[in-house]
Amino acid sequence: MKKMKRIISLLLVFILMLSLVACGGEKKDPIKIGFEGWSSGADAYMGQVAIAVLQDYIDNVNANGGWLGRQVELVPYDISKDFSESINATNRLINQDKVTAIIGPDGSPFAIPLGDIVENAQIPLLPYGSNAAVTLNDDGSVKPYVFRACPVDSDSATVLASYVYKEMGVRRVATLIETTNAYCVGMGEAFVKAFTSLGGEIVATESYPVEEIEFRAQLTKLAESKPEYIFMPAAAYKEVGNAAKQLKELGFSDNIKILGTDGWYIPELMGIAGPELEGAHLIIGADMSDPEFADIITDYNKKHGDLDMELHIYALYALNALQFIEHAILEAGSTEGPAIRDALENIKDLEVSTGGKWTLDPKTHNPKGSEFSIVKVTDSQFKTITKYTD
Amino acid sequence: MGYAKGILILMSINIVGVCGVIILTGFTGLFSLGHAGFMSIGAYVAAILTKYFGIPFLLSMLIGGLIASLSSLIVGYPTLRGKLKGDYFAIAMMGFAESIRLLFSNIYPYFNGALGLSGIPLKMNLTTSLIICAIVVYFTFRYLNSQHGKLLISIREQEVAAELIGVNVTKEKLKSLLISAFLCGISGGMMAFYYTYMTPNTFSAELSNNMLAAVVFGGMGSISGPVIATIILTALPELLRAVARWRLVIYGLLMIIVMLFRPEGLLGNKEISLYPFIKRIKKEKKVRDVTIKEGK
Amino acid sequence: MNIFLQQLITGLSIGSVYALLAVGYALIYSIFDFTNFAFGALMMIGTYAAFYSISLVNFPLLGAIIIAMLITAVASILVEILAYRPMREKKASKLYLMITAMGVNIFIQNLAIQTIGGSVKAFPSDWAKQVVNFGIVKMPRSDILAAIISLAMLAILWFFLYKSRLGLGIRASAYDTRTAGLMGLNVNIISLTVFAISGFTAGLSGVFFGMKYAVYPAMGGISNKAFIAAVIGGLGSLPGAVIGGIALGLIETMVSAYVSTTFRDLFSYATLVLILLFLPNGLLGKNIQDKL
Repeated sequence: MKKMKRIISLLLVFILMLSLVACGGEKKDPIKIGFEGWSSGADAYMGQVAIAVLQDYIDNVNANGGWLGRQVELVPYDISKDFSESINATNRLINQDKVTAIIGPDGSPFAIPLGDIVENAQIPLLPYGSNAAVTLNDDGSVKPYVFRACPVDSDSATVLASYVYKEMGVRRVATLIETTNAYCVGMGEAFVKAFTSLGGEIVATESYPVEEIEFRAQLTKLAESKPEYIFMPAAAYKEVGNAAKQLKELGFSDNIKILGTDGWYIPELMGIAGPELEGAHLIIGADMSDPEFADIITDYNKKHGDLDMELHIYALYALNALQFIEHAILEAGSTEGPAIRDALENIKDLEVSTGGKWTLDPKTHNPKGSEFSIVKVTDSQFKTITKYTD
Repeated sequence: MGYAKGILILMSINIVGVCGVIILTGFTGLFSLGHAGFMSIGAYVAAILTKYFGIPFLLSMLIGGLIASLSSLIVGYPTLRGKLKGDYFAIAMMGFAESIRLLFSNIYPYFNGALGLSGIPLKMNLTTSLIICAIVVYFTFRYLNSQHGKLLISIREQEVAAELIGVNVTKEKLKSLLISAFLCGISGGMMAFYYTYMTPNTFSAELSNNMLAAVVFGGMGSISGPVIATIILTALPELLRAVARWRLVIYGLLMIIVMLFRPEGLLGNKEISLYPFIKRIKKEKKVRDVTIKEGK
Repeated sequence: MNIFLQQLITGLSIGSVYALLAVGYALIYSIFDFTNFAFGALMMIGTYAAFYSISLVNFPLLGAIIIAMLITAVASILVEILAYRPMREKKASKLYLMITAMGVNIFIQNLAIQTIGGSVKAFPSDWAKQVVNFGIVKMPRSDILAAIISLAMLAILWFFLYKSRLGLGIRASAYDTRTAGLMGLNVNIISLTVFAISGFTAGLSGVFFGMKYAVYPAMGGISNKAFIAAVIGGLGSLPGAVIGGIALGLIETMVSAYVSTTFRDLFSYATLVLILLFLPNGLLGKNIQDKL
């Protein structure tokens, strides 16, 4: 009993010391950039790849003298437990680590509650979640210190709808949507609205819950109403892999193809269901197989091949955020929150890692001018067929 | 809001929920992985009442807790009557929490479905949460140290024997489920007014696991143990970010080890209180007084 | 009609995975009287064993299935020896055993994520992907193989339990573990056998799951459905587990097909509650009250 208590108290003291060591002991003040991502659990690849990419970029910056003559340091936190963690991590990054800006979190639910915290602390936050409520309050006013580092989901779904209607001549689409996920629901709504307003017909609607594996019941029903395409804006790629495989098994895959969004633009999907997805179209913010990414992918594979996780688009969105911050700090010539904020708001035509030139809209803090690429799955590979804007 | 303040509020919220699990699992011996479901109900009811109907947040939290409590009968009645084995209850509770998540994800009026309820007024400050937490801990302590608590322990240890001496086992189990669901509902309400945004996925199975872990590490049949464990567990992931990747691995391993070597928890079923210290001080004083007298 | 048949096949195919898992789970339940929540994690071990023996060592599919079953059985026995048996020997309460099992599940699943990574992989067998066309309905080979091997496995299991001496011992233990021990049965050997068999079924269903869907560390979550299937069939009854698994697969598919896909799982859980209300011992269960 007493021994146990002693062990616990020793443990606590040890932990306290650890955190002290972690906090103190710097010689020359580096610029600290916080990162919040899912680095453990089932979606560990989201955060771990992003951290690797960000760290590489920062190493490069430091090798070239840093920003404003100061070294740059990444302070990554894992928030995969639940979204109380993003609140805690943000508080900690601000109060203890004294970061200059924060990248992430990915995922709207994690980012939405943070608006007030970063506003009070005057530290810019650059999440890459897709929901409109990330940067906007309920009444439509913008959250002053939150800047989105990725396209808004509804934009890409709207553009996709107009591409399939106008360029591909598709008139009949069915939807298959995960109703337990905000991203999927948002995407679905935007697509349906855009597609029907153009004159297209949504012939059937089916849904599935989180972690679904068996889609044959839904697919059989959808196939009855003879759609040309099934729009499936899944947030996780394994669902698309299973749905595509089952569509093929049911023998519908020759007549019905899948439409999708960047949520499943993950190279590993091609290993799961490449042949089954043949002919699928999706819209993404940037194309990973474009020659312009060849260098960064080779570089990543060389350095982080042991991670056994392929480079994905969300890691590049995180990198976009870092490039935003870099630009703002250099432009402002300062690491003060308000100065960086103003510089961020005035970003115009900044070249980012995902290609294209981004301008931030001061009214919504969403990036404008982001190009979308239409990707077609050909020979078990994501192949960009064209760049498209509405 | 400072980092430490945030952690303290989170601790109070977790402690309120854990008190519910202490009553149900720690004392009554019912294994449940579905407490997140009750929290979800409490949180949504409270948030909706305050956001859309302007009801004072304390009142709406109370109503949320009551509705969570009533909803527990859906699973409690079929599984706790007729001395069904605890496994049925455990599995049904798991299903209950999943059902709530699925249901709330698909209700759009007021609930806003999977998109999540945002713009909930921020009401949970440090003082309020600490006061609620203190009241709940006090109530739990009084309840479990009364005749009720002893009945519950008798059920946990020897259900048949308890029945033979005239304990209405089903009624006592249901009673502790109702109270437990109420407290989890309150904890959910506190969460809603602290996070200001939530989706049905906020209340995941992981949340239930964490509360259970606190009771396991702190000790079955103890109140102070799980409360201390909650405090440590809420702070621990924060302090040990360095090994964040391995946290869940360590968690699982610790659960096994505690059950294997110290199933009564790190603190056992003893309560930590100031009484022994006071006694010792009094004794020392007495001894000192005596020596002073004799010495002179 | 075609569509109904196709849905029926779908229901049977997912039901067979539930059934196999439920059997392994019910077997342990019937003897040790506790819910082995680590079942999903064991299943995952089986899938990865098959995955790596094909992708790294180039094993043929059948060889990989056998390797998967063996490795899962070893893992299952290890869990029994390291975690469950010491607890039973201390006469720890059932609640503690359930919590230990939960801990094992969390531990193994997250260890897998941290060591082999959280990404989703395809099962490396092109043979299993091929679709066989029966005219009216279409089925992938993996489903047919799963059905045949599962049936064979269940037949062997039945034969073993009802026609062998050890099987008799297991059934005696299931009836009353303590008395069986007093009668001179070696309870340790019986428990090892039971955990090995349960490991076989977990490994096998893991391989089928991987073949049908994909390979990833969190795949064990499907075992929740297997628990429900086992309750529907009657906790602890092996034929009940098979029937419960197939019934749950059919209910889910038919609800998806003709009622609502959104609320499908709600129907599964409602079935569970209704069964508990009106048929508390499940379709085939017995002795539902706690033993003295």
